Amino acid sequence: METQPTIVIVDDHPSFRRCARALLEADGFSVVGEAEDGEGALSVIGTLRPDVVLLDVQLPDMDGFKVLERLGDDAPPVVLVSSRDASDYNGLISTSGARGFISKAELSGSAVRLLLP
Amino acid sequence: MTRGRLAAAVGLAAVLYTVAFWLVLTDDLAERKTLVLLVAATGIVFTVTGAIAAANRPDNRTGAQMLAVGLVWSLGALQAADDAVLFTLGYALSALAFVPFTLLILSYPTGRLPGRDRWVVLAVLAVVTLGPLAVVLFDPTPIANCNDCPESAFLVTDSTALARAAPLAYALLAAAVASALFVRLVRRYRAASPPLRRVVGPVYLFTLEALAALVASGIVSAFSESAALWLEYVALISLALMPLAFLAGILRTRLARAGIADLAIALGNGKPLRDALADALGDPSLELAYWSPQHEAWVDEEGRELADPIARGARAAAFVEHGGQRVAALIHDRTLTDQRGLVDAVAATASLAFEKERLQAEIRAQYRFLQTIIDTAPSLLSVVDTEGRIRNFNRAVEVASGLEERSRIEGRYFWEIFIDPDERDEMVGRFREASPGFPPSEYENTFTDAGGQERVIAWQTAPLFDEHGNVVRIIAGGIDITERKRREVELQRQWDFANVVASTIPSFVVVTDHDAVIVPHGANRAFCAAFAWPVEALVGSSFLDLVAHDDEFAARMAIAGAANGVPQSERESRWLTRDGGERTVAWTATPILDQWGSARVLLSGADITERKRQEEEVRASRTRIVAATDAARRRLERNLHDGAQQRLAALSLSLRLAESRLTSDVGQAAEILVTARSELAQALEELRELARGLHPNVLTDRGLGPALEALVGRSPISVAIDVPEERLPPAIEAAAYYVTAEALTNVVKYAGASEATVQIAHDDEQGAVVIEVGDDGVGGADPSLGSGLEGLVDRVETLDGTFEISSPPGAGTRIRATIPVRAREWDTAPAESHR
Repeated sequence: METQPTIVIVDDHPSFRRCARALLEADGFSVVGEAEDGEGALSVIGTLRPDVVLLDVQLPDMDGFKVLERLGDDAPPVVLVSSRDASDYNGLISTSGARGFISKAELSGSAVRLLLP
Repeated sequence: MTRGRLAAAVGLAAVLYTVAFWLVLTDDLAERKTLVLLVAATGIVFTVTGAIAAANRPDNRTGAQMLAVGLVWSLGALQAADDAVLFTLGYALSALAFVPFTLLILSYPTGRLPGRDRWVVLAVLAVVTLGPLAVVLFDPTPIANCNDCPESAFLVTDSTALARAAPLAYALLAAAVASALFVRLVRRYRAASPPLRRVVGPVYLFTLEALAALVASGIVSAFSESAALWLEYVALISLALMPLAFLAGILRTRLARAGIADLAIALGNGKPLRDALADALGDPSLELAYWSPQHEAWVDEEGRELADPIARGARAAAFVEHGGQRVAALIHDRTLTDQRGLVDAVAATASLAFEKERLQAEIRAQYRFLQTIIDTAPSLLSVVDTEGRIRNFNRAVEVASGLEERSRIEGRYFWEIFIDPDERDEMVGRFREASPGFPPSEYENTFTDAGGQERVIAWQTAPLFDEHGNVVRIIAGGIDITERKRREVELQRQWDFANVVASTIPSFVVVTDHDAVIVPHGANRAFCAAFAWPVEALVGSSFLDLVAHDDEFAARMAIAGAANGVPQSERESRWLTRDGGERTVAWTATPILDQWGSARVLLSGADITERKRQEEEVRASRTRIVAATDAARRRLERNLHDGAQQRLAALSLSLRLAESRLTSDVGQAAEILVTARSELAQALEELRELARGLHPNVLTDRGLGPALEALVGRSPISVAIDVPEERLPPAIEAAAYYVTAEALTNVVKYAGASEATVQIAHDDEQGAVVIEVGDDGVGGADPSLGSGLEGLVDRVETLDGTFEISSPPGAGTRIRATIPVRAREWDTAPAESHR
């Protein structure tokens, strides 16, 4: 049996985290942790070392790009999510080090998988 | 003629006449003896008078000429000789004396023969030599009807015709020459001046008489022997009297010298100088001229200027000197020219009188000059006596008073003429106070002139004293200063006007010199009041000291530019108050001339400190409104993002998950759908809340009252509202709603209040809507501390409203916003409600 990829969900909205967890687990991901802000995300990611991180761009204490910056080069693959459109962030996404961007309404396990190596 | 020659001539004459008388007395001349004796006597008279004249007037040739006539005359005595040769010779030379005689007549009285008369003398010479020669050559009896006379010794022919023709030709030629001489003398007499006529008159008369008698004798001898003889007597008597006439003329100088004593007496008796001199010189046409050193001109007795006496052609001038100075000139007839000695003696005798007259003439000239000045001067000049009566005055007085007749002014009281009635008593009082010394004084008064025009006169008076030092007259000189006064008043009025304007306008006015130093009265009241400077402290100080350091250079440049005549455009600087404060002033620098014509710089400014502050406030308010708007947008976007958007995103995920469970796990799918419905309901509520926050629909549809009811319904504290039922203009309703909403938000956030009140009223009198929100909270609110009140202030002021707050600590907070409602805004008020 194929090992399910581990994922950490970072978003400040509990309802989104709950729906995302259910959807991704249904799609074959193992949700190993959640965080509701940037500092929490850095801590959880450093501790759990998931295969992928689903990172909301807009967080209460710092935005997703700042979290990526703080994670540095040995960070796990990060997929940015937002209820906004990717074009709202202009070229920031391509230079942020993230694997890609998925609109929250378009989130699915397959969409995340497509962005992984 | 020298005395030696005179003596020789007299001696010769004595010999000649001795011989003549011997011939006459020894010869038997029968009836002709008387005539011949008369002829000889006439010659002697000429000789003697000639000698006297020559002795007395050796400078005048007349005496010598008379002597010559006498000497030559004696040759005619040879006719008395019995010897034919002597007789004939005597006849031939008998008329030769008429040559010096003619010369004498024509040369008289100067003794010099005028060039144009020489031909007469030559003609006479020709006739009196050739005529008798012809007779003795051709006529055997040269003297007609003379029985005792010898025949001509020089007869060359016995032709009867020639014997008749020769005497006739001689008589005719003699008559012609005599006529020519006659005409010449008549003309000269007519051309002569009165003094000359007086001298030559008797001589010419005797000459003409003698010539007429001789010519007549020659003519009538053919008809009447006795008549001719009588005419010869007449001629001879005339000729014999002539020398006396000559002598009288020649010696008149000597006689005149005797008159010099009379001149001195006449002058002593006060006879006018000119008349006395005219008498002394025998020249009634005499004129006197006096030298005026002051005018450097010759003047007459009255001081009137004369032409230069030397430049007077027909008349001669003799100058009188006194103390080495030329003081006068006698302008006399040219006949007196040969009597220089007499003229000089007369002039010397009268020199003192001349000097006196000259001084008088000069005084008169000065008087005339002063009189002219006084009469042509525009000033009023009058002389009054010690009682104040006018005694003398100039022409300007007559003109000014309108009393053209001197008699209407003379003797009148000064103040009757020159002082208006309302000032007269004061003038009389002043005049009497000045008595008796009447010291010099100056005063002004008004009087109404002849034309009814009121004139202001500036008078100056000065006393005139008699020899005892008593004031006898007062000279009053007045200058018409009406126009000057009018201009002074006009200038003063303009000056006062300018001062009033400068001192009352709210603008600052400062006047400096070109070095920016404030001149006297150079700062107006507004400036002194605004900057708390006493005006006296500013005079002489530099305006640049009153300008903030950073602005000093620009101010210096502006003043320098204006001092160079270039008006400076408006600029803003900070001027310093006395206590070190600053006020922002918009000012200009303009070159001006002050009332004395000095170049000055006018600094004119307006205090724009308050305007600048308001502008700053408006700018800050606008910035805050923009910031508030931006914040509201950000808040809205955040609210949408954090609220409805997140819920809808989650809903999307839930629906997708439910969809995936529909076939595999229907129960879980149903659970997910229940959660999704709840999520959707919350999303809708959040969207509704957002929409209400943007603009409550009820406000638009139902008006302020229902909108505020809904608002306070959602408030966590109790709020009592009192709102007018009628609809207000939409902008006012919106403003009132948001002011109330923000005020209540502040109450909830900061006041710690349990209840609040909202009162909105339309004040018809003010034309405004007044919103009052109060609470029972902690108070102590400060708009500057950013407690949300700033936004309220901005909102109210945007609508030209005013905002007041009362928030004593511990006693709640009450805000009052007054928003004006313009008439036209009512037109936009909704007439009825819509849902």
